Amino acid sequence: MDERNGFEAVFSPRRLFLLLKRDFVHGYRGVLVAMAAVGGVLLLISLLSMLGRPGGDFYTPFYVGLLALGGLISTSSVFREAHQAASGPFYLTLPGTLLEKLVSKLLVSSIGFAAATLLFMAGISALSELINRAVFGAGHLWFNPVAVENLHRAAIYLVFQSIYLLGSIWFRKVAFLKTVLAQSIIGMAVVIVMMVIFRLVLGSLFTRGGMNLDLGRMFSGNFSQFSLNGQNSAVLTHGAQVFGTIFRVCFWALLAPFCWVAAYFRLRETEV
Amino acid sequence: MIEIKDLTFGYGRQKLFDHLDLSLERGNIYGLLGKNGAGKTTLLKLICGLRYAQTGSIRVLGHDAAFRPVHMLDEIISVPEELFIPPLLPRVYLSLYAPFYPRFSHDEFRTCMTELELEQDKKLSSLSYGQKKKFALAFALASGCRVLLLDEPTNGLDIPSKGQLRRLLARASRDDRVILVSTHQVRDMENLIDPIIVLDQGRIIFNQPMAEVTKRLSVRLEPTEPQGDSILYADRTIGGWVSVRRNTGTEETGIDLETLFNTVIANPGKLSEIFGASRTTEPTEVHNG
Repeated sequence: MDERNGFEAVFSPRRLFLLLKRDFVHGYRGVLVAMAAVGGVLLLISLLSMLGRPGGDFYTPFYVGLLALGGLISTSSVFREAHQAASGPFYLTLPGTLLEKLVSKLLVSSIGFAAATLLFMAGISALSELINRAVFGAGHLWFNPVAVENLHRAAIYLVFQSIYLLGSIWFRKVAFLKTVLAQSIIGMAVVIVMMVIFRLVLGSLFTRGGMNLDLGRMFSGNFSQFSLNGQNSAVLTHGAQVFGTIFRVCFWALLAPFCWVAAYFRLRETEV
Repeated sequence: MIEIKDLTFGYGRQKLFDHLDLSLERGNIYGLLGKNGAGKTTLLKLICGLRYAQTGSIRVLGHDAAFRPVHMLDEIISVPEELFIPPLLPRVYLSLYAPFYPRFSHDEFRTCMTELELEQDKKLSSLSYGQKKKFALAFALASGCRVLLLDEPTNGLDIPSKGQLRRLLARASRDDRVILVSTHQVRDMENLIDPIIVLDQGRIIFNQPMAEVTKRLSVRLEPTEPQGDSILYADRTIGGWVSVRRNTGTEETGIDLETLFNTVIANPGKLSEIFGASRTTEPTEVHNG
């Protein structure tokens, strides 16, 4: 087997295209129906909102909601076919590698969904504002799909989406709710571990008998309640920066790749 | 082409296969027979990598089935009893799935569709179970795959379609291809499947070509109930009793698959003696629980 054949046995753009085409043909009707329903509701709400106080950033909350709910729920169902009695054997024995199957589902539910949502919101807001201005002579701000804030929100979605992609292959049934639950439990566990580390590493810096565990104050972002002396305040600020950096690296650089790798191995282990 | 060695598999604590060995050679249409729950469907799933062996190995065309490598998947196609047929037109289905199989023959597909009297312009979801089955079989036969796994292929087919399927399968048999048919409907597969493999209590208790069967077993129709140790199997039928004995002469008599299956199930030990241990797997201990 030469090198090209060896690579072709792991990844082939042709087979990836076939898998994407298959997903598109099987799914486009459902997507169109969902878009029509959401678009109709948005147009209606936009019209009704003109009776109150028009103007301002009307569409962003809907965009965030669509990404957070629509995106994560649909991501949770991308591997449903791998778990079902009839479609499971068909999908798993379809000639494509695990990598191609994972990448095809990942592309559709991550970049594909985020890009489609940005374009959809831009289109709906344009249509809605045309109607608003024609009817009321005024309207809301147009949704700008290339605004930095909106692209940043899409990037956050791409990271969170990887957790739900893993949930989709991990859980056979009710994947979305189970992933939310698992994410909450893991999130709480991480926070507790972080607090313990924080207490162990930085506790001695506090002058009045160490840190208290008043959660309301812990998360207020205001360290004054800990009665720091001036000298240690700089150390604590530096510590918080280090924690912040670790958190950002974990979120932006490690979380998604970890979920993708875990999803790959889980797909590898899937039996029907 | 398919090599199963020392396979152990079970669901939970219940062992289904215990150190099972099986070798399937190219150029044959194997019939896999067994009682309900014998593990026929599970064995097919293990062969195409949908289930993983607990111990032992399954190699298909030299590939480890458990890894589901792509060059195994494009050479193996399975028509399960529970079908997945998406709501598409046949031509759309073909445009989506045929390119996955490098040797897919559109001419062969058209021939199969015509012979099985399937309409090309009807949505697949609107077809009856039997028609969906025929469509899946037509696709599988046209796929060009070297390994075809068919689970109860005649279930749901009408009487003419069963004959058409037999003809298509006979034509699809090639020197470089192995077809494994798991079925309870042995009469539907009469004169087609050969060799015959019988699976019982997690082991292969019989694996013989029909030529060997007719050479070593003798079937007679007798007016009264046959008696004696030489009787391997006897069953009342219209006009008397069908009896199966060891063939001690040179004359060969035909045996239908149902009678053969019942004989094997009734007397696995004696059959093993008659056919020798070379092809029939010796019974091994099965541990349940």
